[in-house]
Amino acid sequence: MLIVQNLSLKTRQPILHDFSYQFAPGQFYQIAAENGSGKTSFLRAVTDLIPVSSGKVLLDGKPYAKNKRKLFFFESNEWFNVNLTSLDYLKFVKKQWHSNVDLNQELDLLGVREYVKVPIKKYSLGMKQKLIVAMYLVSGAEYYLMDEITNGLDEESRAILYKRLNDEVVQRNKCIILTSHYSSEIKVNNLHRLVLQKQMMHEVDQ
Amino acid sequence: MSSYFSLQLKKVIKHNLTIISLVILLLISFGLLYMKSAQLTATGSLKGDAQGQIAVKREALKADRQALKRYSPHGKSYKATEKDIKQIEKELKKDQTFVDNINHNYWKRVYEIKLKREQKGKLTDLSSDEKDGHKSIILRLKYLIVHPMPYESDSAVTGIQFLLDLNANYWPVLFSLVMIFILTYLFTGSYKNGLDISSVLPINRFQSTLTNNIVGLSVVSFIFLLLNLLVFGGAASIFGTGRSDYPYIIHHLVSGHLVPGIVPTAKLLPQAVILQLLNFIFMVLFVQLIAKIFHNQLPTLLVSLLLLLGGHFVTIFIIPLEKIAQWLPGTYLGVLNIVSNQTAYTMNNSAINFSNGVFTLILSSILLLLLVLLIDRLTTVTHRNGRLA
Repeated sequence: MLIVQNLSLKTRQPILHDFSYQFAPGQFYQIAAENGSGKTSFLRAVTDLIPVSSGKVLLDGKPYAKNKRKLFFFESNEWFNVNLTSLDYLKFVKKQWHSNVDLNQELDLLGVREYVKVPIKKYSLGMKQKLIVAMYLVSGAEYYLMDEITNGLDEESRAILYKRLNDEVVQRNKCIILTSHYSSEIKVNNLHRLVLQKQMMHEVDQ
Repeated sequence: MSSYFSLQLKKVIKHNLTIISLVILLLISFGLLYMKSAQLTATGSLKGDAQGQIAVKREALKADRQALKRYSPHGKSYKATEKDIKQIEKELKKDQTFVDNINHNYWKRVYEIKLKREQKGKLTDLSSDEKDGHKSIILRLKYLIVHPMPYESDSAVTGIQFLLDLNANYWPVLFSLVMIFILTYLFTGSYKNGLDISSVLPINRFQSTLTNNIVGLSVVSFIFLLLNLLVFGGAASIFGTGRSDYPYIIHHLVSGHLVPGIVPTAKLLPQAVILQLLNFIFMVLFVQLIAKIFHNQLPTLLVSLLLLLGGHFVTIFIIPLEKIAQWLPGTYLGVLNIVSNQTAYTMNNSAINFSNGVFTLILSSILLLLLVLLIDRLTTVTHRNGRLA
């Protein structure tokens, strides 16, 4: 369980005020908000990338810093070192997260295998996003924090991705927290929609 | 942790910057080798000087013989010119023998003649530095008479001499400059928009810092070794390897004064290697500290260049600092000049030596490491306190 207690967040401007929520395994959470309202900052705060004004985040009863292997977060393709290849990153993630996921199998899901040994600097946006997806799956982490993961993916790839994420939630009991603009196309089980508006985040009916 | 090490290493190895840096350093090195090779037979070299003398004397001989035809055989000028010719012929013979000895590798005889000539030179008009320089040459010749071997002091082109020359005069600044670029790239690579993205990896900050240090040190050491090996191989394949027991001019402390001395080159190397490694550790920690302060490539690069290279030159521009130069890590950048006491001699500060170098660099590195760990700690605490505030 990812427990957020009375979390307040402020960067240049107030982002979030006194937010409390429990993100449970086997559930899919979509966070929707206007651009610039702080979705990414919320994910950064959960992963200690930025300090919070007040509040607490516990991952299975421990602070994130002591339970990092349970969660995977790769914010955007800007985080890549473009001289490395997909294989470099995937092998790294598999080893670092002590994952027993079959790397070969994940390479085929969105077709990463075709360019697995090509340096990232030669990738299109879509190729980079597919690699990020593969990294999440290869990590074998229990919690996925995904920020606009479908950016640059075509319709077919988005459909494959959502189907796979649904399997991750239903069959592997994963907890997925995803920020996305395309709210209508998310067709997964156990879906919860949260809206971040005027520094308040709350769950809404689907 | 090993996978993080491997990833960080790949980031450096796969970047064009590393290959370009290596190629630039090699081009500069071989460019220098080419220029030095041109000096081999030029005036100033052992053989070149003798050959120059022979050419001059032959011209003089020719002129004298022409003049002889114009003079009356009973005149004073004729006799004087005749005497001159005999003297020149005698000296010419000596010079020719000297060159023949060089050509036939009769080095003991070469050095004995050279020593006699050097000892004949008048020293009264020389400054104390020049006198010391002359004394060094005498000492080197005396050593070479006892241990005859081919002369390598004309121009540093043999594998060993060229490597020593590069390490003493060019690489301390040039290599450091290039390494600062590579280390900056390595240490700032994990910062995106000021955020340390390596903090989402399942390793703690201490492990990540330690791994980055080891990667930085490995990369710098590997490039240094590779560069030395390539340069040595290149020079040795053209001009020979050179002798590891060839005399190297040093200065040693006698009654509180640094006086010239001679040691076989190989004797200097263990201390030079130790000091070089400590220098690398200091440089790696320094760039890492700056990267942790600025979280950005450009400021890290500029500040590191300014402080690390500026630290090396500061004693040249601010003369009073020479008195405390032994406690400044930048003093020890040119390790060969430290272990040979050349820097101590130039700065007139005998405290600049190997022992103080080891002490200063270790102490500075420990301080830098503590600062790096303190910043890590503060970053962690800031995030945690923010959460509890």
